[in-house]
Amino acid sequence: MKNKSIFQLGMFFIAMLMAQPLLANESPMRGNAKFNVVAAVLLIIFLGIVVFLIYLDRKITKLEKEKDQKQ
Amino acid sequence: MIKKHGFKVIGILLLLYVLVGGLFIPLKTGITGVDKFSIWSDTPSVINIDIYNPGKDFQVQSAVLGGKWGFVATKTDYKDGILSATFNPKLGKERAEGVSDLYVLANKEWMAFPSAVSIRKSAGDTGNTNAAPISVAADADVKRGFPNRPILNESIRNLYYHVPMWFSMIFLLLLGAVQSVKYLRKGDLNADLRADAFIKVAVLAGFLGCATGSVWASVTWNSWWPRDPKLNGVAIGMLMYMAYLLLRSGMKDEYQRARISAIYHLFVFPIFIALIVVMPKLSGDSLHPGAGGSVGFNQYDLDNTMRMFFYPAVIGWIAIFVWVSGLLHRINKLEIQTDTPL
Repeated sequence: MKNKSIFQLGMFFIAMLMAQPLLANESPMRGNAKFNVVAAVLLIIFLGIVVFLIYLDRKITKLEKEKDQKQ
Repeated sequence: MIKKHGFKVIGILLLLYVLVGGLFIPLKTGITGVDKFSIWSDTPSVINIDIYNPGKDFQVQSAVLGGKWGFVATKTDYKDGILSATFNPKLGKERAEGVSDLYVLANKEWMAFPSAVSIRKSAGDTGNTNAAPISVAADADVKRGFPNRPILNESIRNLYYHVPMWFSMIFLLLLGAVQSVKYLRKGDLNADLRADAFIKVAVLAGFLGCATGSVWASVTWNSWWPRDPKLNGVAIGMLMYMAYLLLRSGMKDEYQRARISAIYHLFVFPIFIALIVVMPKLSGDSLHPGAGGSVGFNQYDLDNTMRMFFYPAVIGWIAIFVWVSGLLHRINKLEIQTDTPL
């Protein structure tokens, strides 16, 4: 039940994003003489590195658990 | 100590320099837009031109519509970032109607805005033309700042964040190939783990390159995934490396997994390079700079101020990604050691 409401909320946000005219001239990405797209690019790279950090974190947690079990 | 950690410090410092400089150095003066699509010939018409980063003492010497032969503005009036130029072009009998480029000479530097306004021929325009020969000198490159190219504008700064992703990916894949060869020659399982870490982080860099490029293309080429040989090649190449990840995760025997991964990578790596570097050049028709006839970046794409940041950006990102793949390799090694007690 909880998962379903989270899914619906996600779909709502996706629908809101799709409703934005992202390719039109008024797109927020074109603001400040297209500087905002540089900010978006840096945000994507940051998020990518954070996702990788989470992946590494989970691997290390698994290793720690295995080590505890052995002891 | 310095040998082991030096490249990490260098990577961090270079990226700090690139982030600060790449985000804060201003763009040169340039034209970002005009308020008219077309004007009629033989009629005085005012075109309002948006000037970006004009600076304090912005003095307009002249404005021209056209290329080698052009129409000089009869009156220019600059106020608060908007240049109002009055043109009265007479096409006459000898010149046809068409789309003209716009050039503005201000503070002794030419600024260009290609395909600015189209000049339509009005019915009464049957006399002589008033087009005059114009010499538009090349960019003098006197002012410090990043070039203000049409369409790109501020997004030219993405050169330091999008392009190094691809350079890092290719470099990491190359390091992975070296480790694969090492495994095949010596049967050292550690080399296989190293190669795997390099390839996985290379795929991460590739995904970041795709995502950042897609966002950049959406505001410059007006499409999230334009038709371009380089993009098609990258799509195929990324799929080949997704297949590598699946192939590797499906095998349990360490030696078999290592041998097949190494051979697969050594086959796929040259194909990947061919797809993203050679094919776009052969097709001769790509949106990406350096893909058609020219080799890499030429003086037209990069000016000296950009070079001061682009090369450090490439080295800095490569150092960071090599560091990240080192971390992944160490964790994978620990994982194998805890699975099979030595």
